[in-house]
Amino acid sequence: VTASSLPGTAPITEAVVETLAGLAAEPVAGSARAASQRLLASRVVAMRTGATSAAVRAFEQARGDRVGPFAPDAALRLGIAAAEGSGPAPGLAAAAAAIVSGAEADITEEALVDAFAIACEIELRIAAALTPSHLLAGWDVTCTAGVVAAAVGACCAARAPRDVLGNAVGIAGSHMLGRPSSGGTMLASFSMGKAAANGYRAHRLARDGFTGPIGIFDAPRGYLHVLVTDPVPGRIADGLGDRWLVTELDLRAADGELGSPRSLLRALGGDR
Amino acid sequence: LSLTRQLAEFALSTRTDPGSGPRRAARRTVLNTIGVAAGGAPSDATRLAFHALRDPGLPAEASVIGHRERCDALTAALVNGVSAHVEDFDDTHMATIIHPGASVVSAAVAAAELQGTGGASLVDAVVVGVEIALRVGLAVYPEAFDTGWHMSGVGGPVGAAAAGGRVLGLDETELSAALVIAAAQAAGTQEALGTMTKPLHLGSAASNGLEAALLARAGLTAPSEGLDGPDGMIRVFAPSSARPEAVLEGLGSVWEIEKNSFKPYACGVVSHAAIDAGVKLKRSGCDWRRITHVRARTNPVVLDVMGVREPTEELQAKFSAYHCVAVALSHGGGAPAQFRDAVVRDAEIVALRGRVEIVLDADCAIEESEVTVTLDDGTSRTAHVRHALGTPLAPLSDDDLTEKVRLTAGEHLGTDGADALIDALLGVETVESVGELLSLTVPAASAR
Repeated sequence: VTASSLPGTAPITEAVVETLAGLAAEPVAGSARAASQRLLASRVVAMRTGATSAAVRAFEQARGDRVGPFAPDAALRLGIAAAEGSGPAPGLAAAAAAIVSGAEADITEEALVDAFAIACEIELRIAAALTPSHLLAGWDVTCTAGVVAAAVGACCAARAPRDVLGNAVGIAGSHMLGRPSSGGTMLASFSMGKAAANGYRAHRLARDGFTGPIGIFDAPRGYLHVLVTDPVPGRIADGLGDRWLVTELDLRAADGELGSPRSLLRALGGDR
Repeated sequence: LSLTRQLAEFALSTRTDPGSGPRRAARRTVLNTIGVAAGGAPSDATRLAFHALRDPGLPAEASVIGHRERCDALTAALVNGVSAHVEDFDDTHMATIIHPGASVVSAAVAAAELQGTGGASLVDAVVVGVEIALRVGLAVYPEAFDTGWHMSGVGGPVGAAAAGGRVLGLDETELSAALVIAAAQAAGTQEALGTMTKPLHLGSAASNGLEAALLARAGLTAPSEGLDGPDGMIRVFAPSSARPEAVLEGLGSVWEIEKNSFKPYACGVVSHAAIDAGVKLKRSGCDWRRITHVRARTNPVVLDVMGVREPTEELQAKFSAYHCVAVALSHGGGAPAQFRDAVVRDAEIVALRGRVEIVLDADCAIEESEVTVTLDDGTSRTAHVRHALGTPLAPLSDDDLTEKVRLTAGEHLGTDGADALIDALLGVETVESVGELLSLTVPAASAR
């Protein structure tokens, strides 16, 4: 425990978690919701496209009969498929984790979109805070930020209370991964799957009382500062909930339809 | 041959004589890891991880140390890794600050149960798994540590993949891919010290390493330069000072596993010298209730990672140098019992902690400390420790190690149960079933 992770000494992380918890308590409105719905639909299309890829088959073969119904494996499988279907992109890990967690909680399509919107927003803001030097250092930000987004997505889909969200963010922030040297091999897609699974797993652990660090955006030896030497943590918190970066993404119209998380998971073959 | 390929070849082809140094070190690592895990199995972190992550729909193919229930191999590896590290009582390679046993042994025993192999194969795997984890650590230390990475989460997955892959019988191509898949999951920050997430790093490393081996065997591909390439794991974790050559220097002739130390105290290793000094003072007859001030001179890294001034519970106390010195002076040790919540919150211990001053001295080595106490009559006493107990120049003897396991495992297994486990672990190479070996970690009442 570093000094900055003691209660009251992690102002940015505490503010972010507090704001995220507040956002999760209300429906996401307006253009942010519409943009998130389009983005989620495109991510589901990617999952469908990649569902029969060689990487997914290798994963299934490795697991044999060890793929459980709502286990982190389901999130992992969807994450691999999504990355195979689209290549690295924001929102893939968050979508996979939110769908699995939402299916477990049996939430509606609307609630799923809300959870995804919040998760995607935090992913985009973390990516901004990590700055281009993160990429130059050899990281794949869609995974490193994606794992925290996946935890947020899983928590929001499960309507987790603030304490669970805070611990899940901390646990996920200490299980980041993603190196671009994996490009061109199945490892790139697997890394996205692991980002989704680690985020989802962080939610499960936190829900049951597991504790994590509480200052991942503040602590000198925490998530943000180990990933980059020149982070701009203010980009995560400033305007969170007021200005939605998801509305600034260049989104192509997706022809995929959504549905409840359970129906989506069933259609995507992740509910075995 | 690429670095990764050479590591894979080493992992699969290395044979060691029963009397050799690395094999003895591996046997000690197995004894220490499983013994300590038996003690850590009832912890809240282990119980919560098992409850949150086990899926009853998956095959019960592997043992969970200290528990009657079995579960799938990947979850078992994770939970056992948490048990082995949650007390912070396991092992440390001082040259990298990696705790290799929890991740490597946990992956290897789960793989052994999947494969149906016995103790000799397990020890083979631990030899190469620990060696590779530590050598990957050498390539990125100290930069990765100074940046804030938890080194066990960095080297651990690669070592676990090597151990798991060896047991599972992967070929060189498959194991090369497994090492890279595992390396891509290197993670863990020092901010997690003092929370349940710290032991989770070790559990994740075990599970991720084993998973990497299974995936590679199933055909998942990974880049050949994933370890030492321009964007490979080693340069990402040590961008200014990467030393990929350290991975192969003397491989097979200079053994890092022989430098792996076993902890005498259940807390962050950098405080152990200060604890030794406190124990010395206690044993010299110093009355801790008369202490008015404590001055502990240590290396600066001690407060970097163990600076919790006022811990309120067990896991925080393990990262409080102040608490460590206080219990050394008052209880004469740093066993798991000295970090339980009741001791952490004891008013007299709280008061003594408040009198401890940590003085940082860059000339003081990590394994060195000097503690001076001032008593209520104005007199003072000093104890100086140059090499902390358990470090390579002051290692635990075989008897010390056995007694440590008896102490920690016996807390839950009772004396007879702990002795039975120790007997089996001392003869681990003759064990035919790793599952039967691990069944000895289950308390008798629970086993019925």
